[in-house]
Amino acid sequence: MDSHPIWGNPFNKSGSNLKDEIDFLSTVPVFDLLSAREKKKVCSLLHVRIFSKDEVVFRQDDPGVGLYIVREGKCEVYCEYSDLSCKRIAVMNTGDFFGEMSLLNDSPRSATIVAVTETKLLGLFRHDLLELMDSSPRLGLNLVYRLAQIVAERLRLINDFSGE
Amino acid sequence: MDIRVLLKLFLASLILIALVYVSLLIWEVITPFLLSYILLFVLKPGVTFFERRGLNHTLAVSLVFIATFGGATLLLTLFIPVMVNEFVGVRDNFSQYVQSFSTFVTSIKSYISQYSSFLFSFAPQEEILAVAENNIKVYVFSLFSQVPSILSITLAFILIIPFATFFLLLDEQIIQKKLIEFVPNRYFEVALNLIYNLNQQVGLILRGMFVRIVILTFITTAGFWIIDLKYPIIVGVLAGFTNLVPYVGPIFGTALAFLVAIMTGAPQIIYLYLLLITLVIHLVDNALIQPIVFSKSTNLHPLFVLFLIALGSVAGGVIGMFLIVPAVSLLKVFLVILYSHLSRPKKPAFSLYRKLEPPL
Repeated sequence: MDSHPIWGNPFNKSGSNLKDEIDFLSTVPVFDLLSAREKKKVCSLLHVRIFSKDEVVFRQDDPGVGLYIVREGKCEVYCEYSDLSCKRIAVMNTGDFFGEMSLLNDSPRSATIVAVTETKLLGLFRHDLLELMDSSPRLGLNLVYRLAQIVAERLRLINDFSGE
Repeated sequence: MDIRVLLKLFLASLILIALVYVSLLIWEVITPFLLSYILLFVLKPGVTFFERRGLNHTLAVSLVFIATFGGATLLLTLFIPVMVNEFVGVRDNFSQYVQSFSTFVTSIKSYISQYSSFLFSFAPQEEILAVAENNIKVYVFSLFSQVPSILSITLAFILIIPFATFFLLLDEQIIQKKLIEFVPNRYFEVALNLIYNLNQQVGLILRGMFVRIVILTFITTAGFWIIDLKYPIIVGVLAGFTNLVPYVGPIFGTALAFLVAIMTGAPQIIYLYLLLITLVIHLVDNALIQPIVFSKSTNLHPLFVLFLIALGSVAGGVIGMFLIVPAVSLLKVFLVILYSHLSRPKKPAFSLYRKLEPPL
C-alpha cells in the first residue's frame, strides 16, 4: 500500500512496489531493452496520475509534454473534428502507451484521450528525459532509440493502412 | 486580451505576492533553506558530471558534498584568521583612519576654495568634519555591535545548510514529484511545464551569480593585494559581491576601495592603480563573464533594471538590490508561461463532442 502523501515518509521507497513497477516496465515495448538497473532509474522519473471515469487525460491540439503508460484501467483515443464530432480510433489497455511523439518534440497532441474506467497512468515527460540523457547518456540513447523504432513502426503501419 | 484571462492572471499574481509576503514574515527560518536551495542549483551540474561517468546518484551526491563543504572548510580555515586580523586592524587604527579622512577632506576643501571662495562658506569646515566623523563612527560601531548576533546566525546556518543541501541534492527529484502529486490532473501538465522552466531559469541565474561572485571576488582581491592596498580581502570580497548589483554595484565597490585608500593614507599612485583595476574588472565582467554567464538568463531593458534596483533598495536594502533582478526575471518566465496557457482558445467540453459521436 502507498504511504500517505503528506504524513508518510516521502523518501521511503517500498522494495516490493519497486519490483512490481520494474516487472511492469518489462512488458512495455519502450522499456523492454533496458536492464533492471536502468528500469529502476526510469521508475524514479515516472509520475503516477489517477484519472476518474470519463475524465479527459488531454485534448487534441493541447501542447504535449510527454508520454503516458496505462498502468491500470482503460482509455479511449478520439479524433476531434471542427464540426463538434469525434471518432474513436483506439482503446488503450494496461501496458499500452500514448503520447510518445510529445516526448520527442513539442508538437501539439494529435488526439484526445479519455479514461473509460478509473485509470492509473504513469507519465514520462520530455524534461525528465532530457535530464536523463544529460546524466545517463547511454540509458537516454537506448530509450530514444527504442522510441524512434516504435514511432517509425507506427508510421509504417499508418502508411500501409492509408495505402490500402 | 480576454477579460477572463486578465482576471486569472491578476489572481495568480495576487497569490504569488501573498506567498512572497508570508515568506518575508518568516524570513529568518526560511533563509538557511533558501541558501541550501541556491546551493542545490550550483552543485547539481557536479552531481550530473559524476553520474555521467557511471557513478550512482548517492555516491555522486556524496562526492560533490564532500568536495564542496570540505573545500569550503579548508578555504575558511585559511582565510578566517586573515580576515579577523584585517578586522582587528580596522578597529585598532580606526581613529587614525578618521583623522586621515579629515585631512583628505580638508585638502580637497582648500583646493576647491582656491577657485570658488563661496563654496563651503555656508557651513564651517569643523562642523562638516565632525558630522562625517560621527557618522562613520556610528556606522562602524553598529557593525561591530552586530557581530555576536551575526555569529550566532552564521553558526545556525553552518549547522543547517550542509544537511539541507545534502538531502536536497539526494532527493530533489522525489520531493518535486511528491509536491506535484497534489496538482489536479487538469493543471498537471501546465504546472509541470512551469516548474521545469522556472527550475531552468533559476539554475541559469544562480549558477551565473555564483560564477560571477567567485571570479570577480578573486580578481578584485588579487588586484588589491598586488597594488598593496590595505585590507585587500575584506575590500575585495565586499567589492566582488557588490558587483552583482547591476550598474550601481561596481560604483559602490570602487568607492569602498577609494575610501580605504584615503583612510589608510595610501600613496597617490594607488588611486591610479585602483582606477586601472576597476577598469580591467569592468572590461572582464562585461566582455567575458556576463556574455557567457548571463546570455540566456535575464533579458530586461537596462532602464527597467535601474528602476528595479531602486525599488529593491527601498523594499529590502542591500539584499533587495541583489535579489530583485533575478526575482523579476523569474516572474517574467512565470507570467509568460501562464499567459500562453490561459490565452489558448477555449474548446467546447469534450462531452459535447461525444454526444455527436458516430457509431463505431
